[in-house]
Amino acid sequence: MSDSGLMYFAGSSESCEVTVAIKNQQLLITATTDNASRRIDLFDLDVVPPLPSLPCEVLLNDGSRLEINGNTATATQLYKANKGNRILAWLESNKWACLAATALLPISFYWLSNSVIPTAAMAVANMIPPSVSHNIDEQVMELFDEEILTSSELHVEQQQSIHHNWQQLLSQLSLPQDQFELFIKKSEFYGANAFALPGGTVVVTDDLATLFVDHPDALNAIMLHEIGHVVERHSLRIMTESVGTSLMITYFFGDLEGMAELFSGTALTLLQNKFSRDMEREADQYAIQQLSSIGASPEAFVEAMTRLQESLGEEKSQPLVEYLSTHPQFEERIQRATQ
Amino acid sequence: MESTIAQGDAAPVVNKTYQPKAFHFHGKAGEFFKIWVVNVVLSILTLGIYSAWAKVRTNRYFFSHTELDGHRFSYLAQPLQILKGRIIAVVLFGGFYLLNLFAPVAGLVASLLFLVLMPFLICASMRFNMRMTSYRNVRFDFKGSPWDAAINFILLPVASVFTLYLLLPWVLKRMDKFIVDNTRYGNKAFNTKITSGTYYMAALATIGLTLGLMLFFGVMMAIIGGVGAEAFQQDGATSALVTIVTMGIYLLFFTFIQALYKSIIRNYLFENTELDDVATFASSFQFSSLAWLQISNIVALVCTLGFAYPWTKVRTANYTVNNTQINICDDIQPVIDTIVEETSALGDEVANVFDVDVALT
Repeated sequence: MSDSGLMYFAGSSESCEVTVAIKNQQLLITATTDNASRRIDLFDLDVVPPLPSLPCEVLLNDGSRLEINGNTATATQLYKANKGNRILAWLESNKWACLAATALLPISFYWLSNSVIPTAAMAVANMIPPSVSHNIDEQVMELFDEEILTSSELHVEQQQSIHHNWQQLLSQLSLPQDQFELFIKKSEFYGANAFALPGGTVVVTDDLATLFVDHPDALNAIMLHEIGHVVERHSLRIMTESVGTSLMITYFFGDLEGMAELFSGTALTLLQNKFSRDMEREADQYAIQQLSSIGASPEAFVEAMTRLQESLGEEKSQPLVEYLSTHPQFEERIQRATQ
Repeated sequence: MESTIAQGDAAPVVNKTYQPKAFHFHGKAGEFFKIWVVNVVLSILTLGIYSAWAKVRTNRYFFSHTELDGHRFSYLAQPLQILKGRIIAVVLFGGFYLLNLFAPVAGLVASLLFLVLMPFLICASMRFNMRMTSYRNVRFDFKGSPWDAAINFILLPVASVFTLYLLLPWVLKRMDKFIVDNTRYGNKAFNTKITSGTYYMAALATIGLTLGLMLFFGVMMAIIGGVGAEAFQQDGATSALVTIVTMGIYLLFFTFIQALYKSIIRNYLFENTELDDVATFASSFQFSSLAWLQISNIVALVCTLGFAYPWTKVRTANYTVNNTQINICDDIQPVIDTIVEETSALGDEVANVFDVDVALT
């Protein structure tokens, strides 16, 4: 039994039609012109792994190439002899396998972005030595200084009392004093706000301190939230997670053109916002737990959130906004604290 | 070419005639969907490692389903080569990104190094991709030098900024010319005879379109905004909706402008490109059909959460092939694959080190 094929000669664009057959573990190629005729042992052939609906391609070791219809008996025999990834071609042409893959795709994507990347990011974040994260703090503070953050204009006594509370928090939580540092700064840009840097630097703005001047426990709750970010290495994790997600998005959607690329950029932002919200929740959780361990009421956290919400003038729950923001909404944060 | 006999010293032909040859894409969306979905799932489950195999299979599907004059194109890369390039890219880009985050000053130095490395990466990537493409068992190749790449892709674009972008169309022309003129098919070279005129025209056309679109959307937004502000003042979702709509408009904008530029430039470039004594080209991209293709693609992608991807890819390939014309010379001589000799002379080891496409996609 023989099939027809097309033979491409090595190193040139010339080709000719041939007949192919398999006999005694050998591939016989016969052509009208003698220079194309061959007899080759099957194990000397390089059969390109099959793909659905494509012809069977065979590379001969002199550099010429043979093309045979993929549905012929010869092609089947060649694939069998070469064990060329037939499983893949089977998966790709089997209806049920593809249906299963279609169902598995969202699940595996969810698994990748919700489990694999955060876990890997955590592992990387834990590997970063303290000296590196301190270095980040120094560079960031230098960048912020005199641009966004200026020296505090609060009364010296008020500043001292906040620092005193801070020291007390650290010792009550038995955290190393030299790993954490508090700055009180005036900032038009941030308004009433606080933030933590990976190396243990926590910044509280004048406006925030003023907002809670009569309620030090609420300010403690906020500082605990920031300490929570440091202790659980959130900044480092968010940095490594953003590397992971952008690699993932580029990997799977990288060859989209033009605006589809922008579309995948949006997906990236949404995903990063989700990571950020998860971490805010973790820090809230930390603050609420530690409040009771230092003998304060979790009510202080509720008070802090309520006042912040008022000062920011935020409206009540907004369904779509949730996905666009880096923080959970105040209502949710308060609700969690009261549970 | 089956019937063509090499004529060693034929008399020089004065008037070469070129005949358009059948150019088809045979890929099917349903069939490619199955390949794609299996590929993506396996890629995720192997944490990205399988994606090298996925890329080879995808490219083979598209190349081998493209048929010119009764012969199919081939994609020759081996998965391990792709994997090697990807590992380098992940280490390089990931390391660079982290360095920028953790040590901005060192990151700045790394950016400069990266800039120096860029032209080499560009050339290596183009060389790899061309060498992995073959037609009738003859490979394509890319001969551009990193120095020329540095001039055309880095120095001149930066310089054009200082001329208020007045030089940009000229720079874009140079980029296209650099790519085409350095591409080889076997022992034959591609040649372009293009001038900056059309590039300046395309630039003017895109500027005109931008202004027109800005005016149109500006008026639209003013009307909607005026009505909307009254009606939805208390609704929190409105601000989010406005963000989404604005982004959608931005995407629309971008697509229109890109489609206009591409349709003008591609057609011009193809008309004026020749493969020495072998082929001439033509392209019939249209602004309206291209813009429609791309907008419907994105709508399909969004509505199906990405599952329409295989369909959009097959559709785009169909559009590209159907709007490309290749005319082949009547008395063509066999084209010789020169890479075979070179690699055997160089030794596979050395050649393989440089045969790498440092890319994530």
